[in-house]
Amino acid sequence: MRRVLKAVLSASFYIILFSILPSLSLWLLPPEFKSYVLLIKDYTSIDVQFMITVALVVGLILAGLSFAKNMTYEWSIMNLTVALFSEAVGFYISLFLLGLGNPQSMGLINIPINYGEGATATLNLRFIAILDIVIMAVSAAKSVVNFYYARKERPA
Amino acid sequence: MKRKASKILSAAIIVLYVSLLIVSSTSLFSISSTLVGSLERVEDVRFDSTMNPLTGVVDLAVRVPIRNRGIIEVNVSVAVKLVSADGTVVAEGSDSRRIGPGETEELLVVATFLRGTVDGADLSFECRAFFDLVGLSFSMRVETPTEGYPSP
Repeated sequence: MRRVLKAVLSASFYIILFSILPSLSLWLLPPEFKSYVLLIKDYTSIDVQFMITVALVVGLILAGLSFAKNMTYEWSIMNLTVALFSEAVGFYISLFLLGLGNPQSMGLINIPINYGEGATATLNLRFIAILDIVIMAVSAAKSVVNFYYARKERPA
Repeated sequence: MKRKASKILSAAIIVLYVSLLIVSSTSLFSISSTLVGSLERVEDVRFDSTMNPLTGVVDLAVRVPIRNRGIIEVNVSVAVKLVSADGTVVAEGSDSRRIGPGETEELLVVATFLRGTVDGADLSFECRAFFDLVGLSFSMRVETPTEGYPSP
């Protein structure tokens, strides 16, 4: 029962963070400001609505993975697979958000602006992307370490 | 053993997340505040030019006041490239300053060119923070007014 509760709470966290909060924040914006946010798409390549939709889908995937991780035993290969896949999905969404919708940019975002001739903005968040990679690597290492020792200490 | 290894990795993850939060929030806040603080004073940008009537050489000086309203030091640079009709760079100038939080500095860009040779200008503005690791830059091309400096 306690395991199920933990799994549900953990899954709810991802749903609230990625699926509910972004959509709610856009919905709660004053109408004039909301129209400005949606107008960004006309002047740049940034599509806020698309980013929110992707965050919503990724939030649901992460919630499912988190639920599955908490419902499986730490020594099971399924637990490790789900944990590593969860890290990969989390890494993808952070690169997606850092790249303002373009995860391949790896933190170096070139935004052509439809205003004036050849106007561009460049956002350099490479260092943050590198920190993100390190966090993913350490988190994956932690999952492997937990799995290794759980398997060793697994009751016969 | 498991607990120790797991605890060390958990602590490392927390430290990294906190670092990520600090770096991104302080840098992006300082950069955006500097940008907003400077745009608020865009009317204070001064263009001074002098022309030698005999040689036709024009000295152009652009003074851009930059105000850092952020919480960490930023490195701001402004560059101007004057280009001819065929896209050749006729003259260029740039300036950069490290500006502490709450400080205002004036960047001075000087360019010298022959009258009638300039058809446009590539302007760029760059603001970097946190040991220049995080940055935002803008660049755009503008057509230059030619009334003051007619072709010979």
